[in-house]
Amino acid sequence: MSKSSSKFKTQRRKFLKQTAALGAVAMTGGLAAPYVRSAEPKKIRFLNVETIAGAKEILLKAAADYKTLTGVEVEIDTNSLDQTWVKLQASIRAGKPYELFMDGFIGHVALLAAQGAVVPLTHITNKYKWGRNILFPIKGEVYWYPYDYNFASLHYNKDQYAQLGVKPARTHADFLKINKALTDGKGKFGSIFPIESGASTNWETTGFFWAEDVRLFDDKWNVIIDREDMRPRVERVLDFFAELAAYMPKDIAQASWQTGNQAFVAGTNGHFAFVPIPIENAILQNTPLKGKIGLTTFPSSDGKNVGMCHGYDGISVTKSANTEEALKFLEWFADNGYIDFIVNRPLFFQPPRLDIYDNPKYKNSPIVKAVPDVVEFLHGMITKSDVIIRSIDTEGPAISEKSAKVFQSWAIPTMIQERILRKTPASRCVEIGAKIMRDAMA
Amino acid sequence: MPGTACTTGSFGHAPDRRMSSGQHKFRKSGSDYALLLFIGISAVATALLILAPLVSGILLSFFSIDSFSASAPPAFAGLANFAKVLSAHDFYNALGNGAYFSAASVFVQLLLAMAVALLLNTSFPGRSLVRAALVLPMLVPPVVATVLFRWMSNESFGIISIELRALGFDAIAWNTPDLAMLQIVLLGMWLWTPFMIVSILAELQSVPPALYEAARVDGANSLQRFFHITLPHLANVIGIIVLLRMIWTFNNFELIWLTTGGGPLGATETLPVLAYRQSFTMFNLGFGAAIATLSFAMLLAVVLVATRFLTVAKED
Repeated sequence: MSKSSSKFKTQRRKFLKQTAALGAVAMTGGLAAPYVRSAEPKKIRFLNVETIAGAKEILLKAAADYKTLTGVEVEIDTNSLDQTWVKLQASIRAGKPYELFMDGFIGHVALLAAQGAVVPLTHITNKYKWGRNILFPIKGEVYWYPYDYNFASLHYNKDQYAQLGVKPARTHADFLKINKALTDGKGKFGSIFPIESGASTNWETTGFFWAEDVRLFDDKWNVIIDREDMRPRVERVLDFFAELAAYMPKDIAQASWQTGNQAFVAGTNGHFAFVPIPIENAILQNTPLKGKIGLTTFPSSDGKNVGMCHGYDGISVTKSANTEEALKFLEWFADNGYIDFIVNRPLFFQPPRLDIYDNPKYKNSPIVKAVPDVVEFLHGMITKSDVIIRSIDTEGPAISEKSAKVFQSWAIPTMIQERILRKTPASRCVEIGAKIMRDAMA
Repeated sequence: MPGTACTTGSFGHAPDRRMSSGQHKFRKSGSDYALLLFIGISAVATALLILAPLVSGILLSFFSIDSFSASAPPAFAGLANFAKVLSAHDFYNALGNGAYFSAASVFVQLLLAMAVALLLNTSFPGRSLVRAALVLPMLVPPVVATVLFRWMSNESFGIISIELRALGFDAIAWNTPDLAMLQIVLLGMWLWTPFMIVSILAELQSVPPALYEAARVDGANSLQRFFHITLPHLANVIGIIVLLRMIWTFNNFELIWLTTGGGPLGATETLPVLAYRQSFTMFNLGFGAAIATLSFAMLLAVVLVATRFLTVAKED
């Protein structure tokens, strides 16, 4: 036997011995693992979707405080909103659901409730008074703890309005006049509302439809936008868009979530719809727009009604081995960490709980103190009833995935695009939109 | 010992004379094992990252999966998804858009790449610098290119729009049904033409200069030299890069998704975009998988035919 093969054999023997020893240790560790696991502190996972500065940090602090108090670890997993449903489903299908999750669509919660995958939170929500149109009870039970309203309010520049000597418009005609005055044909536009086939249009642009009292479904989930009484309302809004297009960028199909906001801050846009993040940013960063941004509702053709596009977010608890712990954490968070979460961004996270508006921490927040008119406007949205607040995903006789499918079908953006980009007659746009909705629900 | 043949087996190791010839075949050296290990790792990686998802995706197209339902199992649907796809107007719209996008993109890129490569094959001051600069677009990720272009072309504050207005023109509305696809083709041209330039230039540099000299002596002009010497020499490489570019362009998702999302009004929606939209926004996973499967089958057929054609051309 040569020296090299002998050396190889020795090395091989040593390697095998070491591997066997490692395997023995691993097996011993594995056998001991159940005991070790049962001795570990409990852990629950929280799927967070809020990525704005401070939100995650506040949740992490709440988790740390809760752990100090109870020994239960709360793992905060931050994700973008559009990936949440996919991630949540994957966790449920894998048998290890996130114990708590945030979601921006109550239809998801309704689906999970129908499958018994989430638990009622009625005993928690019953402890508080709430603004309108936020709890969405399903067969008498509430399956989520709503933590904010996200109305897509119409933003305008108060100085520009003062120069023009106008007030926020209640009619299409008045709104078009203001837009005409603000458009200079050299890169300054009256408005920027997205019309792309995406959620930005569904949320930021549909306020005009709600102001016109448009409904998408009847009590039996039939699509009714082409019904005799509903069609004229939809056509009026589409014709209004055709006129408004003259005061929007020609490349308006490029506009998305923040386009209108960014152009407004740059001084090249007169109106956009969004949550009041620009107002908060102007205060926090002390920009020239501080105190100059006003909020208003969406006008209608005759000014009889005004509208607002609904938006909201909530926290739900899944059915899992740790449901009880998750419920305890949520109940604790509702009375402890929640107020800090809201006060971090009190306009963006508009509180749906009415008691928060009287909370000293909220009232003394620098942002709330800086813009009392904005706070009064937002508070008025949830306490008064003369504003039509709707959204595609909350339309219909009940909360259901049917409205989600219509949401995702981009039927309304398609109608608007047909009217503005192809100049298709409004009546034909309504037929196209109705067909898309029906196909999506089939 | 004299007269004893000392032959080496494969990989340079002397066979052990105590073994039979059959045993010689199966005795492997350390470097044999290393080679098998590396091949094995590639095979496993290919199987895991390419074959497994491919087969899984094809299988998915035979099931009806309601992604809204977290716990409902998939239901076997047979060919129903394919029947739905083949009767959907959106499918043919996407197929047409994809074919147009591929053909237009590759045609434009090929013409431009040929012209630039011919130019770069001549001597001029700063040629090396120009060659290096031309490769730069290949290094830019598509997401960066599209975001930059959207900002530059923004009608309110985009530099392109501002300069156009300064020259007395209107800003260009790229995201309209008439111009959206052109926008994508131009962006693709900026991103991918360098690949074709580099490929053609490499082949150009292998053309023997003596051929051009002989042609000049025979009185051939530059156009004749191009069609009778340059082009035949480039035929194979052009065939390959055209095939590759057409496949990559037909399958491209990120450029279209990031620029227009497939809109407006389906003007730029191609099969990959349609498959994504159906799977992840409409939650019709089986339907989306069926679109992807049909797209794969069509491309496979094209590749098989084209490869055969290229092989025959080479034999000729």
